[in-house]
Amino acid sequence: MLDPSQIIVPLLNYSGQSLTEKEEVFFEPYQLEHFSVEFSRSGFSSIIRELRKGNFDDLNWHRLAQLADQLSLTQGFSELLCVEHLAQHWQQVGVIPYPHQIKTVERVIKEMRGLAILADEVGLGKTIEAGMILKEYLLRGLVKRALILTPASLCWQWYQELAEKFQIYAGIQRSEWDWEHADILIASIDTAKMEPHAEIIRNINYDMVIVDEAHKLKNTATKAWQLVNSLEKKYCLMLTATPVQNNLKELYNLITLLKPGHLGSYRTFKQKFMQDLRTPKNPGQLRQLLSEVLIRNRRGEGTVKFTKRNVYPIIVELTPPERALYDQITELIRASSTLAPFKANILPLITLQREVCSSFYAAGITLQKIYEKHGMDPDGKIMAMMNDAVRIRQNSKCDIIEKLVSQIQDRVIIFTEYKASQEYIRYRLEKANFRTLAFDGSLSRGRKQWIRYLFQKEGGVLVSTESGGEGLNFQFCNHVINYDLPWNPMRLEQRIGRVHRLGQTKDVHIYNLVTKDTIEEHIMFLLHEKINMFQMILGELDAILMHLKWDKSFESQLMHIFLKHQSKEAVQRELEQLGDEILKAREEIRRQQWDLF
Amino acid sequence: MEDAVRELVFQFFELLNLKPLEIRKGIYQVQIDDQLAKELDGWRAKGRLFQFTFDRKLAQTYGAELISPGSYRLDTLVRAIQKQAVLSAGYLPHDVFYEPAVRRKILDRLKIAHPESRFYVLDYQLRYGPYFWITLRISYLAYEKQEELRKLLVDLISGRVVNYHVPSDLLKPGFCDQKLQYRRRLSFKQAYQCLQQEIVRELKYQDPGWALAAAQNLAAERARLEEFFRDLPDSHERSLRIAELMERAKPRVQVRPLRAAVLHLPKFEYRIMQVDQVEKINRITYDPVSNQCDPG
Repeated sequence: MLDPSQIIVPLLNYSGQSLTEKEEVFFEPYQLEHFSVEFSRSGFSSIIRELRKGNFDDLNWHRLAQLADQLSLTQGFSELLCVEHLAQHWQQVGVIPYPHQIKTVERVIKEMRGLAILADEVGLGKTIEAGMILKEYLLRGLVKRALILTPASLCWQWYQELAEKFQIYAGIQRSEWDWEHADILIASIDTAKMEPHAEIIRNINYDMVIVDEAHKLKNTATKAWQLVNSLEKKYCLMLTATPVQNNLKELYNLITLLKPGHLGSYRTFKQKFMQDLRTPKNPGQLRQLLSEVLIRNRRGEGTVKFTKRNVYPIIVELTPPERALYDQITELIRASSTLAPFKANILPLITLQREVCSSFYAAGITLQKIYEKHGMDPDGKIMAMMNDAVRIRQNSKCDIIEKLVSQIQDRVIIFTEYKASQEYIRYRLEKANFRTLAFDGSLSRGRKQWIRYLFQKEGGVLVSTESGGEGLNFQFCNHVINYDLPWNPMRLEQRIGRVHRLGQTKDVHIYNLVTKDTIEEHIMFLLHEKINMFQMILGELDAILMHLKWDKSFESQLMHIFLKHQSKEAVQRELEQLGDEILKAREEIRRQQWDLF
Repeated sequence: MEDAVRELVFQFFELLNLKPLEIRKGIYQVQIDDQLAKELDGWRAKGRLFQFTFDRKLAQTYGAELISPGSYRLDTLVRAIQKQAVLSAGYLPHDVFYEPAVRRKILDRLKIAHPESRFYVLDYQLRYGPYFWITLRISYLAYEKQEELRKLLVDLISGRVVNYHVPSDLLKPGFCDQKLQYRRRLSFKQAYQCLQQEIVRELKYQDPGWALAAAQNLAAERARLEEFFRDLPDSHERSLRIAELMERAKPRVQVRPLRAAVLHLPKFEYRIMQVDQVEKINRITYDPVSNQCDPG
């Protein structure tokens, strides 16, 4: 009888497979009339190795292993394996595969044979579809080595999605060594296209290559296009919400990269399907050809219906001591921005300006840090402000929060950017006899899951920092209070996305606390009134910000506007312009989607 | 399928000397240690109280892990079990067969073949013939993948490949008495070669419908590629794309031995006197598994 201690514990590599499991080697194939027959050399070698060692296992294990062999057989593509395989896990993490996603996966595997452009509209779950396809092929043993090329900013997101939703433990490429030593690797396409990386990748045979934001591969002259074209890949998925951005040649390039010859040569494509660069000819025939390699799911019937989003801006009036301190700190920031340490790095001042709108406790800590680091306080102003911050006993935002929470009488998530504010909110709510739970980035994954479970089962108020909420979904809650407003709209969308996502069955209520006559009011004007961000389609903002190609971050753009102008009107004017720029980009993106898919 | 899953799970724990307790109707619980947890869930896993069920509803209600066809947990169990028993040994004892009945059967057969003769058993010996029992996974690959499991026996004396049903429940583990074993004449490598030839022979006569359909698709795709690259000078890219296509769509069969066992199966060796106009002594070996006599 085999002792449990004799069971070999395999070294796990990225894909969870044993590192000791070597690539299969076959004997010279027998060529029959219609097909070839390959006999595994490695399979037989492992038996011979055991024979030489005289290692004979218990026959009972042999019998059991034969039963396991029988259960592990793959039978065509009639049913998706990944759906059943991940069912329980999805239930735990709150993933619900939608019918349009399952249909897409089936089409890609059965009809498109693993070569497809997934071009769903934003927010319909292209990544989920790609993850399911990858998992399906992995489970069937048809893919062992996969490469995921994405913009650098999305590497981590891909890693998390694959691990959390599909139990695919990929690696993120960090060095040249990684290319050859990870079965499933996520890499920045900008890194991959550079030498020496590109040279290494070209020598690897991939079973599957996934390219995210594939609209960047529209030009054959770019290194990215050439890299993907030079890769040897059995299956290939390209993900883009905007398969056509400017002209039909880009579409041709994309499809030719995926399936050369599908649209013929460029000359024949031009003759058959192009009136000019921007106008298609024979759209019916072109649509038919495209549907063989491209899937585009749209919002509406048959896909996803999101519940309503109700947004309530709540204006908070500061008390006189709070107002005085706010003005003092704002003035200090304005004066310090021209000083040497902050000219090169404005980040500490941005943080301070944001914190002062959140809570004076959070601002006080940063003030102290700045004071200690730079030692700049010739006239004792900073010290005085720190003392003032400690002396303030009333917090107008927390007063409102207490009222709000008692009115809602349901699960509520309060988001704040700062741990100090989080602690203060919890202190105030607990004092007012509300049950609270804390969520922040320092918690382990297991603890986060436990708190999420408690919140789901027992309700109460969950006070979370943004980093705490990342990667976890709370569709069972439909009330969100933004205690402070992040300056980056993407972060705001991520907060809301924790509850307002696929799987939410109720309308979502978002309460934004905005302190009157502060920067927060300007931000609220820009996001809510000007660009109506809260009603934008999920993921649309992401596409817009990418399209804008700013050289500065959104936060820096705002900070420069605030520092540049003294008057409220001037700030408003610049924000109007910024808003117009965003709206224009949105229009451009929407215009570019032709009725071809 | 569900019964097979149950059997697999309970046998697995039984072989590990673990006894799952039914803590609620349909929900089982067993304490697994660190090593087993690591084997199932990777190196970071720790020993724990493992609760499982075969019922989807119960899994949802009580949060026990679901073990059903296609489920994650079944997959991890199957993978863990498949790593075991690459090679085993066993034998089928003679007492499974009733010798007087075997003797009667042989004598009856001889009488039918030679009605004028009379036959007497002089003596008999119980011997064992060596076999190599291989479990193979045969994968039919094109765009799709179909798999089947074959368990074949190679006679290590004659090299004959047979697919008798081996009553594995009746097999005894290990080796029988060496003195009773016939000496094998084939090496294991030769046995594998015999097996290869037999499988190739079988595949030759199988319905090639799947391969024909795949070859047709492949030809169409290849023609499209050739057309596209006709005017393009870069032959490297052309060969790259064709290699990809072949990898994806070329019909082929892959045969992988998963595990093997050295088996010793019983042989009844008789010395029989044939009385006709003259007396003659015949040596007859009877193989009860295949129900065949040698010479026939």
